[in-house]
Amino acid sequence: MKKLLSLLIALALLLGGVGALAEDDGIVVNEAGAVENPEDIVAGENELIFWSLFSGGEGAVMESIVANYNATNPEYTVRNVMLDWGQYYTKLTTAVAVGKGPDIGVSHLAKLPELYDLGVVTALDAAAEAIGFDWNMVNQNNLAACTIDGSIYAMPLDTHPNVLFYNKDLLEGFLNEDGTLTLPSGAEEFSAWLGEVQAALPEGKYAFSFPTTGDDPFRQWWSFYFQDGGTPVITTDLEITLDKEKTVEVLNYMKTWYDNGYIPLNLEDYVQYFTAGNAAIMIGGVWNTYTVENVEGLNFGVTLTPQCFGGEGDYAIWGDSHTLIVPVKDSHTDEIVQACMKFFKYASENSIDWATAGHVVANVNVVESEEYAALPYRADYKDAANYVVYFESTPYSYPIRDAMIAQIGAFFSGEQDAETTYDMIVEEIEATIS
Amino acid sequence: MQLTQQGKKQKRLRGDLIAACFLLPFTVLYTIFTIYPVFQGAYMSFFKWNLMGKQAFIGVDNYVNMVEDKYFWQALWNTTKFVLYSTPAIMLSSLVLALLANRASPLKRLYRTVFFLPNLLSVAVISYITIYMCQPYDMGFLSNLMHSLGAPTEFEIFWLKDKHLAWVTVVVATLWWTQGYNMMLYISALQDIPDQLYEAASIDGATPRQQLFKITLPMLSKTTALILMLQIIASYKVFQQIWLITAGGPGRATRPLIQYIYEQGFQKQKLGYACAMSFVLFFILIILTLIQRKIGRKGEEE
Repeated sequence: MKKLLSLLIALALLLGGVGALAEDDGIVVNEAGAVENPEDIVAGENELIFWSLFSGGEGAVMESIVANYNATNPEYTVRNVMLDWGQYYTKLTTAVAVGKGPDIGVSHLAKLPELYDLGVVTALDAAAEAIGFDWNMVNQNNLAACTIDGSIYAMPLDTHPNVLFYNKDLLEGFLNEDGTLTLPSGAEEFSAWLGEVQAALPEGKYAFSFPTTGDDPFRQWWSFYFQDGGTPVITTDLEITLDKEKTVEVLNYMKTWYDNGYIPLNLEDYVQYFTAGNAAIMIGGVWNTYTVENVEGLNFGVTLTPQCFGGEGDYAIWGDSHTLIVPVKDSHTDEIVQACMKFFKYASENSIDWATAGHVVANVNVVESEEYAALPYRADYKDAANYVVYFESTPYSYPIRDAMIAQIGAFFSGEQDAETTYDMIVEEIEATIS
Repeated sequence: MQLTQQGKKQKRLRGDLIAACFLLPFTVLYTIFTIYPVFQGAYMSFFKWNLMGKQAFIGVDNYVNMVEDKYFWQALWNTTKFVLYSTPAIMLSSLVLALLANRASPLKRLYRTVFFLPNLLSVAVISYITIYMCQPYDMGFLSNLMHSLGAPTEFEIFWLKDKHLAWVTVVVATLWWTQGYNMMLYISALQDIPDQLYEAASIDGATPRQQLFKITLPMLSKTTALILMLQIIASYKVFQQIWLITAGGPGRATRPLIQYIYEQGFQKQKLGYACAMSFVLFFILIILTLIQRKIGRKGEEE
């Protein structure tokens, strides 16, 4: 008995011990390739440390952008350190607090005001001017969201909105002659279209692959709410201006998709459900393009998500944006911030590769280039970046987003009605900002 | 006479010194990583404190806010619910498994290994397995099994999205994961029951059923009390598997206290408030531990 127990315990210890491996220099890298103790990396002479949160396809592309930059023999080279995405902001903030932060970091646009409020980010205006960085070459919709109290705190690299993926084989008869899809506008029209598609599909297939909980129902609600002319969830003065009538209207409209059986309820992996050929359309982030196009034999297209509310000029979609930032650090001289800015300039001007990860890049020259137009799928949704509505600049975007995701998820799961959902969201926001 | 006493004293002193040498490394680490953070946490709970550091002294505001915060009470109640659901379930199942694995059978060893095995898996693994099992639309094991046994295709059970079933899922996953450890405790207690008791009972004509209720269960009462307390304490600390399986959903229906503390501290940057709530949980755990020690001592006295 004792032998067995000790054997089991030894096995347990062994299994627990293989999680992380330390390299010779004391840097610990986990099984996903992320560095666990980036604060211990010592910068070489004239070297900038870059903490990136990109992994997988994105990570590889970023790595090559950094390598190409270093190959141009800049005065300061860049060292790309990949961190675990789930802990990125906690790590970044605490490292900056104790003066061990990196020279370059990444921030989502929605997170930027929070980092600004904590005093984590450096204003880039002076350095940009010194090296001749032209802010006109980045998407102005993005740039406006990077500007806080009149200063620019981040260099937008891309926009990643939600777009609509469609299965061309399942939608035979619904496509244009050139094989593209034109969606009807208007709430009733779009629902009727879904109904027609559903009726035309063989049994066991669905018109629409979409989750019931998580980020995406919230994101689609966001798109429709702002098409409908909704006021900001919360203003920069921390006044809650979420419109009850419109919130409820959009929620109840989206619910009919599930109730009418166009979307299978409580789908977990909706991307896999779509790529397995079980559904005609799917709405998801542009980064899914990379995944979907690598599925063998899937004949698909990508287009903008439908406009179901408002009239001409009211089109709006959810999106976020990756930006590059210079975290605050005592050792940062003007020269170093300028060196960072030079890298930002290179990354922006050479972001054509970044588009392969699926994102709409923020550099307008790149987006309008012939090279970009030749990229499959990406060119079909390049305009999306102009319609993205961002959170108003407050430090609470992330926690408010979390609350909305939870409550909207509970609504679509059938746990509460739309009015209650609105009330619960407002209550949670009040608790957050108090 | 005096000499020997002095010798004894010296010997004891040497013994104490040696003991201190062995204890020192642990004491130092324990102080740095457990005792110091407890005091630091108490200190922080009186401040407004974010990830960048100390902001302002606010006295007992964090504690006052806590009493008024309905999400705190909801999370504490969710944790308590988990304790109420999981403790009896785990105790009963580990007892049944122990009785099964303790029977004289050639498969005895196999039983023990199989029942104990899930205990070796990490929480990430058991959570992933659970999520996989619960996927609807023939993408998960349960849905597939149900349909291949003849359930109509449009019939689905949403194990993770219904607020009642989500609890069932989390409790069953925890049960499967942790019961092996308690089973081992029960098995060792079962082996301590002298065989003569059963022999005497058989001679007197007691049925196996009577033997179970009149001998086995009463003889296990001390172990049962121990497991009960350990289980309650462990369950009050629930976080990881809920975070990974339901993330506290649907809505906030399964969000336990530790998740709420984590969200307040690291997502909403209210570390002072998170510390204050941690202290309440700490207090609950201390009370439970004192009760457990009292029960344990009473058992020893008997």
